[in-house]
Amino acid sequence: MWIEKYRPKTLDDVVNQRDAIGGIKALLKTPATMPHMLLSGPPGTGKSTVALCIARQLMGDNFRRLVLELNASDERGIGVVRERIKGFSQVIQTTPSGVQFGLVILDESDEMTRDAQTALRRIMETSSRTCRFILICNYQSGIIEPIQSRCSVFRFRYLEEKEAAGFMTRICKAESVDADPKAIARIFELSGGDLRSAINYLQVAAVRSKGGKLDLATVSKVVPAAENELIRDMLNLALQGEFIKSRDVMYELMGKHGLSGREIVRTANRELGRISDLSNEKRVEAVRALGECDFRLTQGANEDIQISAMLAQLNLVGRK
Amino acid sequence: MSQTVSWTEKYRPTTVAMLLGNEEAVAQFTAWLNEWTDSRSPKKTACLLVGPPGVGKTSLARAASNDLHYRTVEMNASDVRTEKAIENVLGPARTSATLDSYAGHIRGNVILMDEVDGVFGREDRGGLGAILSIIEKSPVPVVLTANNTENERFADLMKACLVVQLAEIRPRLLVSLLNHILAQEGKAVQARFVKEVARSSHGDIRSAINDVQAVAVGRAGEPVSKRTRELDEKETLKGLFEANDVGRARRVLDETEIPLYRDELLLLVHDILPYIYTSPDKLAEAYASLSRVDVGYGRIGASRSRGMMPPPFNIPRRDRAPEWSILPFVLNELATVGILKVDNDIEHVMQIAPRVSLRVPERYQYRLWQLDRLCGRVARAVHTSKRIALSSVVPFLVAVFQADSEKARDIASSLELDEQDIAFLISEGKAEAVPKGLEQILDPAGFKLPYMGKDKFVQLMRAGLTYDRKGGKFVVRRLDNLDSVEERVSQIISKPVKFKRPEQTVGESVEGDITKECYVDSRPIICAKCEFVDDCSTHTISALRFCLCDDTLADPASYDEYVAKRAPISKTPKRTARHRKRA
Repeated sequence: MWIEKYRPKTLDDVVNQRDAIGGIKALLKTPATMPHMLLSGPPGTGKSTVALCIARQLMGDNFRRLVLELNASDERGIGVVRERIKGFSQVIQTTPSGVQFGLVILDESDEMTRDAQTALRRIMETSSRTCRFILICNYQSGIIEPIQSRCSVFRFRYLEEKEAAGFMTRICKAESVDADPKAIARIFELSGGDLRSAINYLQVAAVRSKGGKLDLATVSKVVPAAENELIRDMLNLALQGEFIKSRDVMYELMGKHGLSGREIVRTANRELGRISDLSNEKRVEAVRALGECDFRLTQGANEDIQISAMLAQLNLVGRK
Repeated sequence: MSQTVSWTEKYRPTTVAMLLGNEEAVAQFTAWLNEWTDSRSPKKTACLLVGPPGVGKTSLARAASNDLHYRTVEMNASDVRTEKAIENVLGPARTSATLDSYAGHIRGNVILMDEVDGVFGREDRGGLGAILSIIEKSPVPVVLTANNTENERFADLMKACLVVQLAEIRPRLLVSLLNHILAQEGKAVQARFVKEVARSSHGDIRSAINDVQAVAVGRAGEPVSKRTRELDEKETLKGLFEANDVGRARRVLDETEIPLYRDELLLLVHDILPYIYTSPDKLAEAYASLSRVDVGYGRIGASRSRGMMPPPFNIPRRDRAPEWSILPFVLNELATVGILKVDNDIEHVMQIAPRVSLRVPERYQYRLWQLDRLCGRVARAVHTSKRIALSSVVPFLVAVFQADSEKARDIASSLELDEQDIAFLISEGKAEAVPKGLEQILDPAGFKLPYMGKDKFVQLMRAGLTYDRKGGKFVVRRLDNLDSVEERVSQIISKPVKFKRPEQTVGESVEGDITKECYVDSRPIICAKCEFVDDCSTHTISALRFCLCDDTLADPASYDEYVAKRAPISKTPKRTARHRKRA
């Protein structure tokens, strides 16, 4: 996959996030005193890439052995995280750059509960001699204060069109794909500043294009995100008063496509903006319903009930 | 009859013939025990019975020893932990000649050690070594039981023992046992409840019997006519929605038989709610309370996030004990859900409303499992979480597979995906295109399909079809989920398919028409009403021809019949025959 193939290998290769990169480089001048880091920002803006670059710079090319990559949303509970970090920190690390610690990259750390984060804070303290942490999150507000204060925080922004387009053009050149600048602009628009999905779009479009020519028409044929369409269907059905049908679509999303409730709400929030025939008052109420649902999803037990409650609310909004 | 005796002890099997299920394991174990003679012992002096709790590991050991005239010397692994303690208890027992054996009844001792997987904690240092040394030197049979031997530290133990796996007991067998016990005790319990217990016990005989006893004995004192009957599903919902004040609805919740510590009732209400309230404002209000109830259940924190996802996607939300103290408040809120005047008749609604919250997860389980596996691999390869892999990598992969499967293969191998994942992606790429086009109308009671090779055939069988060899036709096994069968068959044969719906009078006529046979060895099943080949000869060695459909189970004698049929398994050894004569 191109997203792996063209992932920047050093911090200098990273095309964007000048401020963050500058700060990180300054910290890495004396690797022995490297603090814990917290990288926060929207998806596809290079947080994991930067973390991997740091790892490579500190640990050399076969860094995989010396770095523990964990994903908070995949590991089941803080117990597992603790066990793995414990096991990892007990191995004495010898690194090419001479630093005396291992690196733990904890992705999606804002997905952890507050309890788990409190436990994580303890883990960070007890293993501070042997481990440095790079925490990655989408929302800095999802991380508890004590952890934030222990880390140097770097914020990542969505990519600007010039940066993303430049990167994509470079890929096209390397893969000898003749890409129309308009097509690339369209891909950027579809991805909304998320470089990961932009490159994915690019790759799919390139596979589909005939004779190595990538034009606007090929790009518009690529609709890999069937889920987004379905979510828009679901919203429309609810707003048109077809509650039962829209609930069936919800079940299809959760059951067949495996989306979680929070993802559905997040995407629905984006898709709501694309529904044009909605008065301002209705839009406000719809967004309020979405927000309430997003909150309750974190509290409740059954995602299908919470989303259905949201759809029932939208159903009411649509009928008014 | 005394109520203080626990039924699990009272009805603990004393002979092998009384054991339930696991025919193969029983035969394996008795064969091993039979190999012991005075002069010769089998290659492996120990046998490790592995299986989930309550499937009859201890019972098997005791019953088989009893049958073969051994005396069991038991020790609980949790009682004796250190090497020294184990030596103290087992040392004397190990000497095979006992006083009793001179009396002629008893052949010798069998050492039975329960729950050995509980032994080897940190404080039991040496426990494993002691057990291994006993096994090594023992002149008598050693039987160990364990629930879980997946840990590496059991590797040595597994090597030293003959490992016999016991599986969960099939629910239908459990029902027949429970009915037998109830008949013996002269107690009556709703048939629905017995079935529910059998199903929810997950093959654990002990817990199933305990549950039934709790209910049966709890009601024993009351005369049958006056017994305060609990409200069943229908009555509960009716009461909940027809009550016009919260107090009455709350009383309904007190009297319902639906367990309220789980979210079962919640989902039931969730399924029928849009059919009951058709006006948007009522629906929104009812759902608002229902979602508050759900938040309440979330606060209690007993049930994990159920969702739709298979286990790895499904992260347990909290690491703390459930707070049952707030349940009453949650139930008060639940009582308000149905307080508004209903728009539709509840009985009618219950007939027409589909149970989506149950059916959807069932239908997509396997798919989600595959998806989860795939996402796991992709996530590792591209340094993200499964969630991101699912939402922003896998759809693109599918799109690539749709466009150009050769290039897609290269990409897949760069991600270190295996054939199973690739096959899934290919089918995903196709699945989108399939259901469009002209539908082929088929008769579910028998239709022909062109030959498509073995793989597709197996897939069709999994999708819920059977094959009638004589007629050369496919038959839909169960008619109650035609929708999902339709969908899956369409995907497998890459052609849209529609089944003729049977007439509304679903009676014996439809069921009788369907040929029932085991699809592995295509023998006919005796009873036309059976849905599954429970006792297929390829499944158990006993070649048991015993029908376990609902009609048979209603008959309390069915257990006796079962026992009588499976008795021939345990061969009485020659030696015991001699013993018996002497006795």
